[in-house]
Amino acid sequence: MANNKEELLKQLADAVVDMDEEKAVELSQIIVAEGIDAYEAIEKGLSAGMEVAGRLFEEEEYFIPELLMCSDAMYAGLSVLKPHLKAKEGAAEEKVKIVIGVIEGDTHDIGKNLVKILLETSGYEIIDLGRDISPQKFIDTAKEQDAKIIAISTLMTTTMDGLAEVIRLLQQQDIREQFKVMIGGAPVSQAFADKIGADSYAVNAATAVRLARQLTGGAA
Amino acid sequence: MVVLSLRDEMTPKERLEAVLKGRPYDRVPCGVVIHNQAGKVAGIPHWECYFSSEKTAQTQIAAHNILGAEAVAAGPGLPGIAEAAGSIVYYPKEENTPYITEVAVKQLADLDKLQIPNPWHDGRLPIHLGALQILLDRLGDSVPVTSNVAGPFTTAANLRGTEDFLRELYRNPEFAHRLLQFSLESTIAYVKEAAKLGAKVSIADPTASPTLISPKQFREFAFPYLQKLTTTIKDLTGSAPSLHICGNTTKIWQDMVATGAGILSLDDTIDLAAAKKAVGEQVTLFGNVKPTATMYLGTPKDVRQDAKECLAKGYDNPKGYILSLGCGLPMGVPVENIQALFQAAREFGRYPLRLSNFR
Repeated sequence: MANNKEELLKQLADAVVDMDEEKAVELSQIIVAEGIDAYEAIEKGLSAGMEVAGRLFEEEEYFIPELLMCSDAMYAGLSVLKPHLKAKEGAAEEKVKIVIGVIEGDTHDIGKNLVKILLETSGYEIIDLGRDISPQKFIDTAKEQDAKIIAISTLMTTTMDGLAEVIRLLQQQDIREQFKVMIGGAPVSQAFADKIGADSYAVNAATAVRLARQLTGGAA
Repeated sequence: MVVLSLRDEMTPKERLEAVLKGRPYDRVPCGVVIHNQAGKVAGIPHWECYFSSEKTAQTQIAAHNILGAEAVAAGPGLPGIAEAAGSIVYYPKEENTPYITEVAVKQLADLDKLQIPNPWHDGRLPIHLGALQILLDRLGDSVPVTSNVAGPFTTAANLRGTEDFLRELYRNPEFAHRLLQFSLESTIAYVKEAAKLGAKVSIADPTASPTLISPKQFREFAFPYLQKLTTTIKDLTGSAPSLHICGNTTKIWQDMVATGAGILSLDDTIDLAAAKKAVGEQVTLFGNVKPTATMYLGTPKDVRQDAKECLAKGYDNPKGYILSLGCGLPMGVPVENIQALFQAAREFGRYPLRLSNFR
């Protein structure tokens, strides 16, 4: 039984890496039928697969189309497994929350979407605001949701100042210490992040996961 | 102490032709095209240029006369062909880039309903052609006049939505190819008209960047259409176009050359010296001062330094070198930084070119 479980979870991870949506669904259904713990399947099957995909992306073996296809396979498997999460794991699981979005004036969101996918499969709860989001909206949502991290992205120089504005507003509202701010996007750099007082700069989605872990003291 | 005369001896058009044809020239050209800042000095709000041939032309003329631009441009840019075929573009009144709010191909069947745009009728293509006419009339004798088109891969992404299109490379490659073919034909329809007027054409294909797709997918989905487009441009305008692809293109330089492009416009993430070594015998190089770190966030001193570094690497490229940016000129760049860049070309790029000029 144990061998069977490990074999199935490995195959599930492979299905994600192989971008095989059908296989991911099929295997997830088998996993449910075998009574294997859904949480374990998500962690050791789906998340493990996305982690490999993220690594292949960093190694320039996988590019954006591949990551999108991997994530489609992952989400397809997830939709089968999620309903079978034991109530204890589904609800009370204290996941660290991250508010993410593209700053006001910018609609480029592929990068942000990939960061969201990798963070989600790494165990964070993501509140995705979408694109063209005002600085205050990031803050209001982070407060409402009791998030630990605010993650902001932009692809254009014309909207870079919006990232600085979020930090300015946090300071003005005396709550800068309450949140960690992570930024990313093509015109952004470590130098810019330092200049505006951001906590972290992520050059790509895989790095964002590592930085999120650092920012939250390895909580997730 | 000798005071160097920094007055140009050739017109921008003469200089560019000399560089491209391997003939003697007075100094390295600077190929930056200016839009928003030129509008500011001309007193024309950028938003009005989107909808007016006259205002676009006036802005470009001001860019040349006041800021010293050595090339002027009007052209569909990245979304223009897709817009003319049915994607909807939003034009912010604030200083910000236009973007697509609705794609023309929301489901696969929509492709069958699309028509090749009529360049004198659809989208804002007539506005660009009108601006080109004015510019060719007013400046065409002495200044290169160019129209910038997106590569078919970028246009296809703008018709379908980038994320969906990238997925379709795997899920439905047949559909992707049909969409690419439509994008190519639409672009050629526009290029024909621009060429008839006497404009040159340049290509930018950012969505085909290695930041997004693998070299393998570039070769299958972007290359064939770029090659056909480039051949058409060469036949119609007499010049092999420049090709700009953002990001680290090192792994696809040979492919970019194989499209038939005459000039490779390269991002600041690549090493100009490496490009010179790899493809310098085959194409002119164009670039690669940092648009954000230097032009937008830096000082004139930073601009001069960056320009010198680029010149030091590119000046002796066998097929010629044009000083420019790694990507588009950001909207908020201070005018003095732009002036510093043109001045750097004049001062450091002067014939005879020696490495010691750039120290």
